[in-house]
Amino acid sequence: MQRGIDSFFKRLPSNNKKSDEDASPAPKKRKARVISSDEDEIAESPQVNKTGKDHKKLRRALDDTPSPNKAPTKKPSLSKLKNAVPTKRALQKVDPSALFGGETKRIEAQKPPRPKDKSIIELEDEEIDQSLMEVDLDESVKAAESHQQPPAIEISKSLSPPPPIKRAKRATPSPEPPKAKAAGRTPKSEKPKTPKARARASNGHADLDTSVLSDEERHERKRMTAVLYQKYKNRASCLNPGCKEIPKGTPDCLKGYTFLVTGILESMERGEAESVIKEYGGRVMTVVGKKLNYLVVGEEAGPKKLAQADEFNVTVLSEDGLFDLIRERSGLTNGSKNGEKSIKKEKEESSNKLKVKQEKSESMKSPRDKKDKQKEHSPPKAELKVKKEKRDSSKSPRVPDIKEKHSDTHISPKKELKVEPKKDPQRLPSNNATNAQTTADKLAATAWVDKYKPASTKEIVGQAGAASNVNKLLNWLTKWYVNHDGKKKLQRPNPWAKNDDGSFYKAALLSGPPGIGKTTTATLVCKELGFDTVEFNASDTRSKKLLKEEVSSLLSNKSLYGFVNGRSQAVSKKHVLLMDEVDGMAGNEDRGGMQELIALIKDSSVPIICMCNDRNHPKIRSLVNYCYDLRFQRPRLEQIKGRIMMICCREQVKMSPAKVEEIIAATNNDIRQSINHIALLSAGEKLDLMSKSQPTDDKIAQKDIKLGPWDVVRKVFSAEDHKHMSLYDKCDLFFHDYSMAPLFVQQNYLQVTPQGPRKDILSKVAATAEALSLGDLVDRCIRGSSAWSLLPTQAVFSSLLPGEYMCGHFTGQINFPGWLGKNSRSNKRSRLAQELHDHTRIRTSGSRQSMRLDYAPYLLSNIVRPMATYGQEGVAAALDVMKDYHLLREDLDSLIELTTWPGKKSPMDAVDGRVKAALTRSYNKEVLAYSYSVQTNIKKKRAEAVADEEGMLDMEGVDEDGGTVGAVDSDDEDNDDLELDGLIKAKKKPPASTSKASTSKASTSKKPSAAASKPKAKAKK
Amino acid sequence: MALWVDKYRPRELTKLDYHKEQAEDLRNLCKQTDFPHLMFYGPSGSGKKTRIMCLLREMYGAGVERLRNENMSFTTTSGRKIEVMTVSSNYHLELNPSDAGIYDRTVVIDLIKQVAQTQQIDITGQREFKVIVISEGDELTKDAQHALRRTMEKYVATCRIILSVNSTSRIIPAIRSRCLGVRISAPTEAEITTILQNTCKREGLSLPNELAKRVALKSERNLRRALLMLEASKVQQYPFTAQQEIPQLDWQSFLHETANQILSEQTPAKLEKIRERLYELLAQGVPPNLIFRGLVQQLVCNCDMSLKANTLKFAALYEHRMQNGAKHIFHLEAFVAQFMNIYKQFVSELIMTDDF
Repeated sequence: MQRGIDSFFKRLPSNNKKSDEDASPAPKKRKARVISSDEDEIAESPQVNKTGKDHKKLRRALDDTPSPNKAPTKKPSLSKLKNAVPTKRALQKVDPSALFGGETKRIEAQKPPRPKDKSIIELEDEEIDQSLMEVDLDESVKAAESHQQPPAIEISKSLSPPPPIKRAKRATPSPEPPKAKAAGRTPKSEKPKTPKARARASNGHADLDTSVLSDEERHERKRMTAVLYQKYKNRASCLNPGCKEIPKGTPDCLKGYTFLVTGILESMERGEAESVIKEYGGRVMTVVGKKLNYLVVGEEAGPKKLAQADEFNVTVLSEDGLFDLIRERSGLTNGSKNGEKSIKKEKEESSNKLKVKQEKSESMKSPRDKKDKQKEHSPPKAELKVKKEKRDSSKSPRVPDIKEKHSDTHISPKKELKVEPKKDPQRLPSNNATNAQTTADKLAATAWVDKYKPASTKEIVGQAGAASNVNKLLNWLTKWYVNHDGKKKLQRPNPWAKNDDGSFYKAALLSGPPGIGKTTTATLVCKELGFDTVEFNASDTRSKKLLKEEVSSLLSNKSLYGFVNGRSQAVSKKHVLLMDEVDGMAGNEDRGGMQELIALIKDSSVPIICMCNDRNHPKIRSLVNYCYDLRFQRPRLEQIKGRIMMICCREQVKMSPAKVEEIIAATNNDIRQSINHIALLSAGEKLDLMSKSQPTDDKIAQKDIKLGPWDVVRKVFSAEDHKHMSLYDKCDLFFHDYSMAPLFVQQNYLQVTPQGPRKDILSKVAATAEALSLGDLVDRCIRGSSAWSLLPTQAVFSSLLPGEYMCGHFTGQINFPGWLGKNSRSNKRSRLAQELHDHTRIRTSGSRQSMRLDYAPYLLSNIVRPMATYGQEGVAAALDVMKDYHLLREDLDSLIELTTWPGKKSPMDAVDGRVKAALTRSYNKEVLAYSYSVQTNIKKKRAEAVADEEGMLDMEGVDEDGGTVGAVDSDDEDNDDLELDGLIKAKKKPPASTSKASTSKASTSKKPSAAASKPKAKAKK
Repeated sequence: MALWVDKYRPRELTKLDYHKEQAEDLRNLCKQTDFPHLMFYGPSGSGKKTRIMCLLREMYGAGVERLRNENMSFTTTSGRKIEVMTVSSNYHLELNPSDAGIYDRTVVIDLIKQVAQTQQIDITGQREFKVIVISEGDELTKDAQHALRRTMEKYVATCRIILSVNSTSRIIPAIRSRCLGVRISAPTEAEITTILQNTCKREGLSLPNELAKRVALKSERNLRRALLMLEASKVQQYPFTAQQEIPQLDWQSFLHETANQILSEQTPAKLEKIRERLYELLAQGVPPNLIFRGLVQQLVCNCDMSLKANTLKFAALYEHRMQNGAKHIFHLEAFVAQFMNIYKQFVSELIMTDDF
């Protein structure tokens, strides 16, 4: 505020002279519009304006004398200001004829105050401010100005922050109310406005500057819009769907007019807006042309369209403007509408007054003027802010008192806030903000996350589509009582069916990562359908007992909520059980909770909504079968960005879209966390007065990005990336994952084509290999003696130096390090070798190594050769060798594995399958168990028994389905193994019988397992 | 129908084919009542284990040969269960603590101590001590070796320890000084030749002396390998001819081929292929130092004198690093890369000079 006022004063001297000349300069579009609105203002209510502006003029005159930098405290006292008002208005009145003359002319007249000219006419300047204020009023309060309004604004403007003056002001308002009364309003109406204003006080000063438009800022803004435009395609949804009520006009109220919608409107999708226009008889065009009457612009409107619109002198409307137009054309006056409501709320009343005023002025004006007025709305944000700010700063001190009064007269301000949006949806656009700000004191304490919690399902980010989870849930919940009245026999849907409406299920399971609005969705959907919710979350104990006692009784109860609150529907029977965070049902506390929940779902008489993060969690899996599965995906970055930008705007936090994107990406598309981050950042920035330069911020943000090993290794070798990296940056690459980085580098450095002459490549490769080898030494040292302080050293050898030597570009694809796989393979083989060595140790003399390198091939060939050459007759000889060396049958396989080399055929291939089987058979017959063989055999049998049990279940499932029993065992490789088979068959019976018994019992607890086996059987089939 | 190696292994000290003097010494050692801890050392395939078994038989009689496999399990301090396979008779216990990997210290502390603490029950036994044979003793970690030294002293009344190691260099001096070292040097080629001849005689085969010599040469004085090779040759072709081809072990030919590939082409792409082959060799359990040796031998044969020195220098450097490092492949690859580099430089220089 201070700054704004100062600048105001500074310009004064030159302004007086230039006021007339200003009309001529070339048009600057945005500015022009702003100003035009101003002039409308004047035109609308000449008398009032007169007084108001004159007032200001005088004030300026007074202020001229002191130094321009004068602090606001030194400003003229209130009484002076008041006196001044009339004179100023008089001055303003100079050009009304031009204003009335026609649109084009007017626009030109407005163009003069280009920002580049430092000397802007005082008059114009004044007007701008005023216009801005009016726009603000218009948008936020959404009402036409009343006659009383301008003085009030003036006062607010002129009021300077320092306390003494405010006190004076406090005194002044009392005379004002009478004026208001004169307009036919209650004195109260004046008061609510102040809180609003005060709330705005919190808004930054910066905005004021932008609206007064210094050169750079304007450039900056242009640049930003351009950037935003790039993102435009992605911004599918509107900011605040449904936040405004679309006025009901007479059917053909827009007949004969053509419209074009561009940008993102606040409360409607573009298509929606177009259909509204068509509904009222308007024509929607796609290209800006001469025939176009109105251009309805939203945020991030196409600059080209705006430019063209300007060229063709098309009237530019904001969304509100469109609504106003509809209202106006259909003969609906805002005043009357609001008048009804005015009694309800003081706050509204104040706005209503404004509206009434506007109404009156409008009646004097031609519709065209009205349209002109709408133009103001097109560059909405900045202006809005300015205005708010002005009002805020002026009135802030008063607020507490008013607040008290407020709360006195009303039940509770908080409640009011809640109800407001519903009762007066028209007001909403910035009205959410106003609301928020009115109760700023309360809300100051609430986190942004709660502050900007969606108030309706339409506001939930990323859930706008028809097939969205919100709609599915809504659908499911509305149909629930119809579906589950006990008459219908519902079919379990095919798990792969796409468009299942979940009518079969009694419960819904919302699953998805945290911070994307599952709980919000559930509560809002319930709210909108008028269901009462009973919520249990992880903070409640949810053991089996508790669930049984409390919840089940709760569910059969009737909710008294409605009764207590005096709603029409005295006692509701419709309630929903919200089980939040079901995956948090764990430990001793919640023992048996999941089973009980499932049981509860089965015979619930109310819908149950469960929520969890990880749908595949083993605990949840049993629940999934009983729930309508709604999976929430993370919203896309653009979707979140829209919301975040809106919050930034409301909170007056300046943040570049790119940075917002970064934050969102960093939180992995978690809306809640993103908002928290923004809140944190804004807190920091307020302290710094946003003086921090952008680049540093960016850099900090960049550092926080975590790279995957693939990206890291690419960066390590890429010559391009090296250009902007310091030594430390390069070393940092290593630390993204210091255990994997060396492996990745080693695996992939040969894929790089280094810069420089070809003949040097090999020496570079050699140098790299040398560095890697040193890095490995360091690695051993680190891990061997926990010398973690050596990590930077390893970073140099394992990542930095290879990157330097092989600096170039990748020609091949980046591979996952082979070392891991190879290492585990060699571990496995050495385990096999050890086993083999253990078994043959009695007979042989060599160490494990000689066993592998020398013995193994000969031993194997000694066993295999007789079989390969003599077939069945050779089995005995082979068995002889095996017996001699105390080998197990399995050892033969490990022998084979140990002696295979790439490109060499396995010796066993030469042996006929039947011969192999014969060997196994005779082995099992003849060879007595060794001490070590017993164990392995038991293990094996156990494993097979388990496998068979499953097989049995499978068969059972097939049986139930009426299919044929598949010979599950037939594919068993060891089918010749009679002895083993016998064992298995003996074991088979018990599990089969028990499982059958369990199914026949059909006890609730066993049912899941039977059910679970069923699909398995199907799958096998 | 065991392999010849095992079939014709001598079982008594008197029947040993070479180092007969030493065998006599060992016999004399057994005649005394006292008996020191022993450490048999020598290269693989020289007959350490054979001598140990002969010695035990000399001491305890044929009962030593009734061996049984036993699985002994114990828990480490970290609560992990470990099983170690042992071979034992009534008089001795043979185990390989390095089977337990890094837990070999626990094996030494728990198992050996436990065995050592108990008295020999069998009174009919000639000795009042048992023998614990530790094979692959040089694979023992330092910790385990330190744990062993006290046990060796403390329970000397009830047990003796016989270590079988390839090289004493990895045995800590404390243990070395507590043991009587018995060096089993590899048999000479002449000795191997005669053994091969004898073996063939007992099998009823006729072996041309020429072939026996060739096998002996190829076996690198590893008797076990020589016998296995001979048997393989017999399978491949009998009757023997003097010039018949002796089958080579797979890993040897693979290594050989790898070296040839290094010589054939020196590019990063080739290096990557070599890396794969090295991985394969490692996965097959070929010890990396053997890989180094095989490579160097093959490479050195094919290069100029000036290169030889450098090659050996690099090989020594990287093998040393490999011993201290964690991942063998890094150092093997570095060696190959270095060799490729110097080899290529040498070749290109050669071409240059040829041109002028």
